[in-house]
Amino acid sequence: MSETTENPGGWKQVVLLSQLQPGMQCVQVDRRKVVIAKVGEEIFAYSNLCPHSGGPMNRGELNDAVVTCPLHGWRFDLKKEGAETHGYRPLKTYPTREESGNLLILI
Amino acid sequence: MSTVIPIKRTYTRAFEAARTLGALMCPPGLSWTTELAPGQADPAEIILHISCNAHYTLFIPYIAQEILKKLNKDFVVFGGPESCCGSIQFNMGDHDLEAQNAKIALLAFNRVKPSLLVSVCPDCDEVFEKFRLPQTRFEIANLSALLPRFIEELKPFFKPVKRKVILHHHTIDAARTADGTNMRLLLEAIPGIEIVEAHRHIGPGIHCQTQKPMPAADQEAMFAEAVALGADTLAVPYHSCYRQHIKMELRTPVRVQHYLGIMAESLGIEFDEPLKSLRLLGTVDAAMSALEGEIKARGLHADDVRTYIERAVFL
Repeated sequence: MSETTENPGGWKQVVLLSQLQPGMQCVQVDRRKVVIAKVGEEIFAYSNLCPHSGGPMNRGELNDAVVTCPLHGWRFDLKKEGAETHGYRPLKTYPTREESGNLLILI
Repeated sequence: MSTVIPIKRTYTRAFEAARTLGALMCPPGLSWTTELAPGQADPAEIILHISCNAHYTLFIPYIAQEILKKLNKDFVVFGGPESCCGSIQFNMGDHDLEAQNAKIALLAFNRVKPSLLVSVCPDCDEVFEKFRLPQTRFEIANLSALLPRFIEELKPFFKPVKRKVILHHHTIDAARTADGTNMRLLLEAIPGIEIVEAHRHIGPGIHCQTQKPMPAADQEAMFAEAVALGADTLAVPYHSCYRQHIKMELRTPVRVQHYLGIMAESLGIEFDEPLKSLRLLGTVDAAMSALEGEIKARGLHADDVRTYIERAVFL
């Protein structure tokens, strides 16, 4: 799991863009575990804890930009800010931006 | 040792199949609780737990529900993938997630303060018992253990059902053997039921699982014997056995029924068997045609539904 460098204004530098591979990787941001998911050229950041029962989202399945929790199959559309596809509670997502070859998330 | 996962099995498919087919084949009048936050639970004596793959055969918990209502029992129905015991995670090789899921479910059940938890699937019985928590004070059993406790209350309600029945069941351990015994006890109490003793009727393992089905040769032999003995019905104890064996109705005169289905007939409880209806259409294309209207009405993706039908119905 990666460590982060803190920047002012709530934006945290979490990983080098060059280190991002397609799929999911989990990083530690302060006390939170955050999943960074690369889907094509898009990058998403979201909580590693499923809002249902705290399932580990980095152990789930990523199909296009929909991530499935491995515990009970709740599915979250990352392109819709983590909205759950059955209408259940949404997944916490974080805005991202790229700066000087780094990925930053607003947390 | 980790389990080898067939490449196409996924959590997404497993849970979406249960949700989608459960919604498509749910009897009117059956609903279930999925989760209860602390402070939200009303107490109930009995929890009737549906089990993930049992969402393909919701007539089973439906009949159990109707019988419990008839007997004025205090119960609640838990269902949905949200009540998963963890055996799906075990089968996927995620043994730590199996434990996590079992704990989540057991803690949720605890909030209801039941004295008894019964599950449709014997896998759930095994997993919940394996991960029993210190605060889990309720009895954990298979659904088949429930109704024999009320057999004397049920007897006055039984109407005759004339059937020659072979009891398919499993004997790998004491719990599964007891399920078979319970099924026999219930069916013997129904006037008109004749139990036909057989030799090829025992299934392998815990139940006729999708991943470990009864070998085809053994299945053929079981039904050949049933026909030779003049049986008209093969009664099964579990939803999984039901799913595996119903296709034999296309080729033999032996009807495959879950034992609760026979009880329902005797008790005057009407029910449908949509999964069997789809299977007996013979092909996935025919099943999809039959479901076309519902698929459109619910806004489902036909390709997804087809995948679920192929894997859950056309075993």
